[in-house]
Amino acid sequence: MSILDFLGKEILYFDGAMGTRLQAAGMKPGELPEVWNITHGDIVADIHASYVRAGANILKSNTFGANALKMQGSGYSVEEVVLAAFENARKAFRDAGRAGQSVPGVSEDKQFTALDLGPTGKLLAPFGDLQFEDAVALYAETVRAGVKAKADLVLIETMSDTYEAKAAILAAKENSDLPIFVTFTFDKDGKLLNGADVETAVLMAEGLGVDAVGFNCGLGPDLVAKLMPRARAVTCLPLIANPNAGLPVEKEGKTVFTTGPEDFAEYMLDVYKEGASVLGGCCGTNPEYIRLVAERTQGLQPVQAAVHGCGAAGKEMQTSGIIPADKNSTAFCIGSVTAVTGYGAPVYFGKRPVLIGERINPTGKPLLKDALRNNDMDYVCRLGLEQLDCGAHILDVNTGLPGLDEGATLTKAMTGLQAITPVPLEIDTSNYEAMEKALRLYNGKPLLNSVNGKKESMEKVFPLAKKYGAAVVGLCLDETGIPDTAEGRLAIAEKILATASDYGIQSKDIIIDPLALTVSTDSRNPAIDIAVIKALKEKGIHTVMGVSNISFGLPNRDGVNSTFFAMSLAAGLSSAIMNPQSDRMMETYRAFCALSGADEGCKDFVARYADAPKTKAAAAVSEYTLYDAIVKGLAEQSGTATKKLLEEKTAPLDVINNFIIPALNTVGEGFGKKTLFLPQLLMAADAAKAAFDELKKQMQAGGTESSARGDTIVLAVVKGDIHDIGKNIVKVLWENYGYHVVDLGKDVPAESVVEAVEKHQAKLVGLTALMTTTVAAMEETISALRDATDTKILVGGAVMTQEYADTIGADGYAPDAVAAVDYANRIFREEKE
Amino acid sequence: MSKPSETIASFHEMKFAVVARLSEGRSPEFRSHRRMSPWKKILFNKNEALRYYRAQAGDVKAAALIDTAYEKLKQDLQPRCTVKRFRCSVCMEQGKGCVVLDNDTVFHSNALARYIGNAKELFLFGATLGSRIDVALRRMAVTSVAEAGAGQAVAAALIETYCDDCCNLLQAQLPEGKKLKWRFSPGYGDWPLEEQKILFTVLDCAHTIGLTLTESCMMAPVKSVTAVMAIEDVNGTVTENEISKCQRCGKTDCEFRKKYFL
Repeated sequence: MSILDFLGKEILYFDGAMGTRLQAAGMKPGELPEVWNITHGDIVADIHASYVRAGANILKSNTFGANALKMQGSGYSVEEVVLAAFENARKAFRDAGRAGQSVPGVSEDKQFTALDLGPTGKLLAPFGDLQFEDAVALYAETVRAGVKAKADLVLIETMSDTYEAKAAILAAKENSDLPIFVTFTFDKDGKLLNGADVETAVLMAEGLGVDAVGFNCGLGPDLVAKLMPRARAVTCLPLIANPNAGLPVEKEGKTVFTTGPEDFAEYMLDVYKEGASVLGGCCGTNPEYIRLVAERTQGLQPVQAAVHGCGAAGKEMQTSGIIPADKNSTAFCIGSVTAVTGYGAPVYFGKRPVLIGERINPTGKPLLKDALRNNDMDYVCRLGLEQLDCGAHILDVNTGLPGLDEGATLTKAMTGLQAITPVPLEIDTSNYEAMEKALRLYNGKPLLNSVNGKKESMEKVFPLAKKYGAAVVGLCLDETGIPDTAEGRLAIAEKILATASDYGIQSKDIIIDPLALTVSTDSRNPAIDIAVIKALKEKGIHTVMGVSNISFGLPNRDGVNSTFFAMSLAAGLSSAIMNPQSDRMMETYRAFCALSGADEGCKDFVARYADAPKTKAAAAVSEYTLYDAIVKGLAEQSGTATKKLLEEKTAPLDVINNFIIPALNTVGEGFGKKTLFLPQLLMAADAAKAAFDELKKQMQAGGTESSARGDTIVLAVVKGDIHDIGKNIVKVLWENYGYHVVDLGKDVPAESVVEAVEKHQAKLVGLTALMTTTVAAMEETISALRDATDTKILVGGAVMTQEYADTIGADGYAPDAVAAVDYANRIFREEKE
Repeated sequence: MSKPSETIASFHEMKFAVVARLSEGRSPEFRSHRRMSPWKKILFNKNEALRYYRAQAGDVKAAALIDTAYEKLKQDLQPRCTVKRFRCSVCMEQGKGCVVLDNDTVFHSNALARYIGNAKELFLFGATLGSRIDVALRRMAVTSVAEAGAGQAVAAALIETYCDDCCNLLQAQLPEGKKLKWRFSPGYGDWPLEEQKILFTVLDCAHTIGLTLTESCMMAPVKSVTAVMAIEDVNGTVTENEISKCQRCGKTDCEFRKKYFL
């Protein structure tokens, strides 16, 4: 029988700790426990058997670290240790039975061994050096071994990073049909190491299609009981609790766990009452703990399903009329919520209306187009941060641009944004290939924009949404176009919801867009949207709308948009794709929240507007010349002064040559003479950058092509190195001097540097390395460049010296960013002469 | 389940234990401190941050940037540490100094061997501010280099203070007559950075505090520290412990070197 036949219908019991007991049996710190499956199989089997006799019916295989990274150099392959681990577990079940002891609740058809997968021990990129797909591959190898060993389920445990958990879940799904359990390790505030909270981790795991989710390690059962309701509130999946024997305490160099077996079992009763139906233990527990837990909870029924009204218990409640019966019973769960996540806290639909920032979309935005073409993801990130600062909850990411590989651009923009913010993103594309790439690499439960009522769209999008656990925006259009009646659009919405259900996607994960068409061509358009929103609201279906389309072709669009926004919100619109940098839209939103009771006591409204100046201050007049503003490091004044110069018809090139560069030269000289210091240099760089941003804006507005850029320099932090602050400073300074810097980022392989130099015909390359361990990579990069190009190579970084630079064959060495500027100026001047 | 090192307490819990012990017989108010999260109490040493930022005395704009950076970073702090105690001995292996632990771990470095000296015990130690600080630092880097520089300086000051706090707590746990020596890290002197790998395996940093090592032996999250601390017997004489870090260091052209020792 499968474990799924029992899961959620009765209490199941995991075993307890293995590591502590192996150590007690003589395993030394630093030794690999997995190797003991082979070298000390009897000891491992005995420990397993002691848990079986205590009442455990799910054994965790001794394979926590059985991945190719950790097994490297152990003398054994992943498959060898996994197969041995399952031998030991099976032997334990046999031995426990043979011993003839009474094993409560452990009948032979209820003996399961879980393939145990722990963390890889590496941090995933962009914060560490393990690429997401490499993590998937590592887990996949272990999963395949587990399948060969006839595992009954996969247990992904002690996950402290949602991204790593996603890699493990995908590996399990793609390489087996086994049931998947996932347990996370939270701190007592309910946060993972990467910052994701309980709700986020659970929602992501549920979206990815696991069979049960829960908690292990880190905390004792008392604290797990406190976090359990937070998991219960967002999922109807069966919940697991494998806590530690309380918090560990250091005593004379040894770790002692604070909760004894009796107290543990008592607390586990609370854990059960809060919803867990799979119970066991982690660090510090032993068979006595498990025996007492099994004893105390024997014969109890799981509470989670009853709470949610789903599963067998839910059906019973429907039949007896306790809760209303539902037509689409498979998708029915009264406790489920609509939410999307990044890796922080979730954003819920149906509470306060959700704002989705629309500005990361190249349509009509030349600067963004430029940035996407040049791989300038910092610009994309700044657009995102500006919107978040203004109050957006989710960021829409659309990078569709003719001539660009959308899959590559979209994933770059998305991962770039996820490296700087944990908020949820809306993946916005109609390119299915790009869609899958982005969904796969996304960290969390994404919002996907979009599917529509066309057969082809649903056939392509729903399988992806299901696999990667996305919530999907459903557009009210199909092969017949956009219906011009509310009934017509609602019929498409129904079709989308019904088809989604066929793919196993619950209606809570479909958010319908009624589609705003401009009022300027048909005055009935707004009324149709309002009617659709109202009708869907009544059915408990959430809605989203790109509000600003309503005013297309009209003057004073902000006025029309904000009024239509208010009407839509009043009709029950759950979320809007809008520009959070429009004050008027944000005023409408905040006022609506106050008026509708979503902003209790008008607290947020007052906090935002109480101290706002009555009238808009006149645009600040800069008292500084541009030169002074840069030298003094005043970014805002620098922007204003640049604007003023341009208004006075100063040519952009004159602004650069007569103001920006002389100012930067002054600062650079001061830095060299040690009359100015690093903070001043950096502030001046920021100020010069503000001037450049203003120049670019004006040039775009004036229709001047921005392609008139300076000489190109390729810049990279070498392979293996993840420290990039120095590189970032050099980049800004070079850009301030008008150079076109192709920034390849950090941890860049030699071949990528060569490729970029060739592609951009760059005459200069800047390479940085922080540590002795990466100087070898720098040497390799230099040698690869010498083989393929005749570019000049400038090196820098904490570990570098002139001597070192000479040894590895660089053309130049820059001890600091100012020296890097001097070098570049010299090279390109010589070139011109 | 078989995590290799369950004999570790994070600093979080370590602190609980120490405070609990100190608080015996004290007032209930004192005991209530146990519920506080230790990381909320890392004191921010602004002067150190300004020094790391290489700001001149009286640079008010730099000071303001440091304040802003601290405000932006503090809610993302998630500091953790892990520590293990070993007996140790010093020996020579192929003409090079070695330090051997009682679990057969060997570190190869003359400088480390000299540092250990006559100490019979040591702590292996790892600490990190957590990966959310990396996210926050990167967020600063895309908007302003001046702020990003300030953020780096603030984070550097915070991890140092946190390590000092951890060491003070460890010292408080030692019996009288035992003294904790200053922290000695891989990469100091001739101790190869590659031996971080050994240290990470023995401490199981990834599992205990979420600190990992890249292929090229860099720590991720970035704002992290690993070190050895010798446990010395004190017999009334002044030990090296009281000498400033800067005076001890041989890198006399270091930009961070305190002026006093130049």
